[in-house]
Amino acid sequence: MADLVTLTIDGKGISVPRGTTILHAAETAGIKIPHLCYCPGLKGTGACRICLVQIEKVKGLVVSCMRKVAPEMVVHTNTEEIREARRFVVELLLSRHSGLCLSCEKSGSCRLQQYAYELGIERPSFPVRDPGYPVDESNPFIVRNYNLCILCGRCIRVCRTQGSDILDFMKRGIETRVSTALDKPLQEAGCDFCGSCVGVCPTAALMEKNRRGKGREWEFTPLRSYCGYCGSACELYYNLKKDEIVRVTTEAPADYLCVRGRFGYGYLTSGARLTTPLVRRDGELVPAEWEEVLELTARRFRELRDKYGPRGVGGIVGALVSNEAAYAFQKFIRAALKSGNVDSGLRFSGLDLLRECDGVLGGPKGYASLEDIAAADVLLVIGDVWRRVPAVWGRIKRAADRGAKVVCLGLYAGRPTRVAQVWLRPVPGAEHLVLQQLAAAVLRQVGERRVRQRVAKFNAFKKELASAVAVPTGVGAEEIAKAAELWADRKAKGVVVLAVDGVTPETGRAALNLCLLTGRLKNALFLGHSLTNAQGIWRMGAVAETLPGLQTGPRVTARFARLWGATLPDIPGLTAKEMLAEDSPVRGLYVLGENPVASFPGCDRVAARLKKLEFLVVQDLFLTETAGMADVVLPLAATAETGGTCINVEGEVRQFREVLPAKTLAAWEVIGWLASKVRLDAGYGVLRQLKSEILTAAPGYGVKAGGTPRPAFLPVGDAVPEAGPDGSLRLVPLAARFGFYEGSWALHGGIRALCRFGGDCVGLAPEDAERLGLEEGTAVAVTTAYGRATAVVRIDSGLPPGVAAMPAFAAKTNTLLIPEAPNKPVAVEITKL
Amino acid sequence: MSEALCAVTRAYQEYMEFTEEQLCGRCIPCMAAAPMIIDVLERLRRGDATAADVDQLERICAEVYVTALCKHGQKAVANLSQAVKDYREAFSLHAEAKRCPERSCTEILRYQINPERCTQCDRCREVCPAGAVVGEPYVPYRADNYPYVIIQEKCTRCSACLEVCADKAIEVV
Repeated sequence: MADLVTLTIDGKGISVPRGTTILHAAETAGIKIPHLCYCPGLKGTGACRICLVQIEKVKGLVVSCMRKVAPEMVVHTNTEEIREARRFVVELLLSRHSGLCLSCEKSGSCRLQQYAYELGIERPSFPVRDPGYPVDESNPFIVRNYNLCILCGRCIRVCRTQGSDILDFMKRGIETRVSTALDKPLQEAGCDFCGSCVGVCPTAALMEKNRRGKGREWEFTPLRSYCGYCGSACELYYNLKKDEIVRVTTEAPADYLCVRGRFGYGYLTSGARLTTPLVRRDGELVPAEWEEVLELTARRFRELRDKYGPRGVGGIVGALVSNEAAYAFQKFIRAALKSGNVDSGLRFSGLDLLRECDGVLGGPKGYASLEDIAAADVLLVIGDVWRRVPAVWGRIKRAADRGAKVVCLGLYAGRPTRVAQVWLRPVPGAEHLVLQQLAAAVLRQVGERRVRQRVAKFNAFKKELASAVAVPTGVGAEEIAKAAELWADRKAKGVVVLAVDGVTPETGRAALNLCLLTGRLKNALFLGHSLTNAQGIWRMGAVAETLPGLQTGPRVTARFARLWGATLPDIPGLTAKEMLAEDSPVRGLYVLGENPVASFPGCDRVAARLKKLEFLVVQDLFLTETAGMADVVLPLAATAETGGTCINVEGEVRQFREVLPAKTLAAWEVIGWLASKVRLDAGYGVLRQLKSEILTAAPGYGVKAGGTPRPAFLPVGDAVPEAGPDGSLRLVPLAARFGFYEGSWALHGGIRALCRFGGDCVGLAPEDAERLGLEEGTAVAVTTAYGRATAVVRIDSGLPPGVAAMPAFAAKTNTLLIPEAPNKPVAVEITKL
Repeated sequence: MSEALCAVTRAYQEYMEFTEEQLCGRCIPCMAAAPMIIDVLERLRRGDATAADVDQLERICAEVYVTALCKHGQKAVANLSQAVKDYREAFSLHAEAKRCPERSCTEILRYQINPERCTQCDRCREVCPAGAVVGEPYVPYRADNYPYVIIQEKCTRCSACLEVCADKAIEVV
């Protein structure tokens, strides 16, 4: 390379690219320069003065974390003068560090301690003063003991880079300390507990609360795995001490994990986990032996199949299980039960949209990754994606800090709207129309001719745009024009950040059209999804329409029949929607890792339908609402116990690691055992065998790098939001509201801190609350045409008037939503109880 | 009270001005050294410091000068170093003899009455706001006329007695 710089560090000649800091250059030569305030992944400030080095012909000492290399530089990193200066700084730090290393959690991994040792500080030369700050333990996740703080400012910088941006230095001079505005506790200051600050803290000033008293870091074994909560499946390290997860860390200290990843591991070890099968006897679920329960299950399924035919039985699998479990499940239903009725809960959270987008983008290679978001110049952030896939936020913030333009579409005044240049805030239900109007404005700038050449179905698209232009959406033409100008800049790397499960299909298709319109086909659409294996489940064939590897057709069916050694049913079986319809033929149902009674929209009807079943088997981590109705409940092992793979939102296959001892049998072992009872069969029970079968059936886990030679615009549809009378409210499920995840793992796993209000609240704008005479905490009845629920009012100034927001994923919210269209706003009545 | 300030007081005041107006607290040496520097200077002014403290003050200043991030912090300690160097005698006097010849370090001062000179005129007892002076006025031909004394624990070093004493019997050491 042309711009390599050659310099000498401690007598070693090295060549590094221009612009490298001395600290990095030394690292490449294996020379470690001690440092406290510098943290890889964050901007340097040169404040701690530990990384001082000497450069020949340069007066004084310079900080190596800031100084860039120059040709012919001769650097000394460890002379007595430098050591003396470093020793002095460390001694100064020790003078205001009142902690007792003997009993400190961080002992052994504390940088201050390490440097004190390396520099040979045996006893402090200065008297130690206790700053006497109170220790903040008021939140459930992080203990803040600023008496141990050395003011390196890492937490402040990481909070600014990828967190909530709430920490800063407060006061000045000797009284300087790190705090939030007005010294508020974290939970009031707007922290969402991503824990990045804990990850970067070099001392024990910021600590995970749950880790206290559980040992020192040298006793922990860090095991690399992936988070099992949302679709991004972030890489993480479970730090274990004797089969107990003590803390969660990341590869580099400043890597992002959200509150669920870093602090939400408790569901794995929760005492509420199911460990033995349960069977219903005299109306009560009682523990039973595996053999007995599986015998019963197999017998009942055989009977039902004989009685009602293969359409009388079916299976529904959730999108949080591994590829292997999903594959074994659909194989069991199709090959052993000979029923085509296998489907996933994904049906209600954007399956069709995922498939459509995948078709146009030509497979995962065409998806935008998280790194694409961080590298983008223009971002179009749609809805509450940053809550559904929290890792997105850190990337958006980094991009915005770099100067990327952000356009936000959504009704909630959340964090992305603060960094956005343009905030499009439509009335609920008009999101797709805003995107259509935006597309019309972009089209005017881009010019029709080239788009027409590049993308098929242009005329139909243009017609739809024309019909959408005049519809009032609540967004002014000026804002649309501003956003259009940003998006129409075709040289800028643009990325649409979309939560597939958080928008209406119309919005999703309109977003995809926007990408096509500006020729942003490759790596320009981020398909965020709240569920870990949303991408894997349908690739594994656990949906009604396709066999593993997204394959369909009689020849494929025949091939699978040979592979599985069984005659296969007609392939488009019943979908989950059809299976749960009032008049469906299904009499026996196997539900794996899904909780239809709580997580399907219109869940009251689902519950009523499940009651009519003759036999219901539920296999899950916890005794969920659905499991409570089952005839047989089977325990499910978590992915962190059994291993397996998933496919994340970027389309990457991620291999979970067996981190914990299994509390129970792996899903495929259970299914294999069950299959052998229904029909003599093999090839389910062993993970390795199953994997090689999957690779035969669906090469590369169905992650195909197909491609569409000429993409076509998708029809968006002309749904117009119904305008209710003045003062009427629309109910919107919103992941952005109320802080944390409201999922069944957190709820049933006893991690109450992760679901602060238990999914039991309705958010209102202050104006609406006043008009209705409601206060914070008032109990209300929330009624829609589809159901009724009780909730507690939370007043939220981030919401616009006319909107009642309820947490997405919560059972009560799902009761109230339209069963067919979970993300469509519905008219809602709120009355005081 | 005298208007002249001793070198220690001047250095102290200058450094305090720096901490109050410029010290930002964003780089560690400057901020962490400040309480120690202030402590040594205050002890010098109180008469609680030793010669070792002056040496340490010099060392701290020299090291902060090398390690501090900005020129403001460096300037503050450089000025202080210079003061110690230039007025070494004054610093030693404060540290070893616990004396402040300019009498600007009030806490170090010790007011006492020279019994040889005291005429027991009672003026000092009358003006003392702290009631630190004890004694009885001179009575001719009495055998038990004793000179006045100042109780050190009560004395506030206000120097009121010094001003009223016509016989120069009150000494400050």
